[in-house]
Amino acid sequence: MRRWSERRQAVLFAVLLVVSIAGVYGLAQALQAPEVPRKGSLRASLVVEGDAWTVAYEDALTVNNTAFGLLLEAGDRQGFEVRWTEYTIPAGVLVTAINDTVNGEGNRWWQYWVNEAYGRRAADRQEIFEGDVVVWRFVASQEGS
Amino acid sequence: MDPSGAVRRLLGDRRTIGLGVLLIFLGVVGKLALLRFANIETVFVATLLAGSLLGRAWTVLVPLGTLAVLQPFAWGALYPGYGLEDVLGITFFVVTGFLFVGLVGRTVRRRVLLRVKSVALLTSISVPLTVAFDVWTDIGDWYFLFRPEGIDFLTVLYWQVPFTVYHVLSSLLFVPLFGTMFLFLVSAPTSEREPEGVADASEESG
Repeated sequence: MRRWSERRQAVLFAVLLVVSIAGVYGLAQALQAPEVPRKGSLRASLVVEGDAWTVAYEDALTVNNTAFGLLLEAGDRQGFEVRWTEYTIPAGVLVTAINDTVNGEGNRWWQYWVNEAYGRRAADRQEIFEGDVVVWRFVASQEGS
Repeated sequence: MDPSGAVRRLLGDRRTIGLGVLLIFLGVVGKLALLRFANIETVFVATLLAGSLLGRAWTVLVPLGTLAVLQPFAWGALYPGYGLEDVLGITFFVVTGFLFVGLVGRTVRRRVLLRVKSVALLTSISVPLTVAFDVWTDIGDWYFLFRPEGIDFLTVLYWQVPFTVYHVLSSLLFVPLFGTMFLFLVSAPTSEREPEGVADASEESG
């Protein structure tokens, strides 16, 4: 079998590498939740259930049509702090603390439900609609329920 | 002054020591610079290159040195609030996972020369190694964080899929990039070592 020169091997490797990176990058992009475009105003409710406290922000007229946006709005209006980490890959925010209750305490994390359906994507990528109820709970990691 | 005796046997010549420290620097700074990019990180490539290019104690020192900086930072600043048992347990899986990566790199060390095939070899093994590392650390996450909540291991693996895709992407980007750079640095001839390959003549084993 004919041996390929180092240059040919380099070109072949570079081509294979670029194709592989493009393929994996495409797969990564396909797994991303899309950005939520701003729409008109809507009415939605939000409840935050902390360790031994609850905040309700009900029937609010809002233009913030994501689970995260509504939380920030509620925090701003009702005077509690929200902390989060913003990721570029995968794109989205991870809420790390609400009202000084920080992720990890007692193996519990901030998670959200929309109309009692568990939020399976970053909260800023979860669109909400007219009449939706968003609940943030500080509970052990879970899916469904 | 060149290190000698036991230190030289353990760490290699001055250039090897310099490159080992540079790999630790790469692992730490790269990881911190890319914090916003989940699983796009440089600890994996630093560890793989330490095992496959430097060998010796660097196979262990690079992952341990890197994680000695990053783990306290992670648990103190990024993920505060976890119990000591969870922190120690998950750290165990992360450290042993990277040690495994370094040791696998060590097994291909004799085949790694400044050639395209070497970069291709390192890049190729980095993909299954990345997946194996993620599965291994998932076992730790499941055992310490999710099992107590009644969540099964397959669910944890399912949640991991997009993050592993990013981790593979990270390896495909960084292993050829830094692999080529470090292969060049390791193989460049100096007065104190053989020019034709990366194997240090003074190394006793492997």
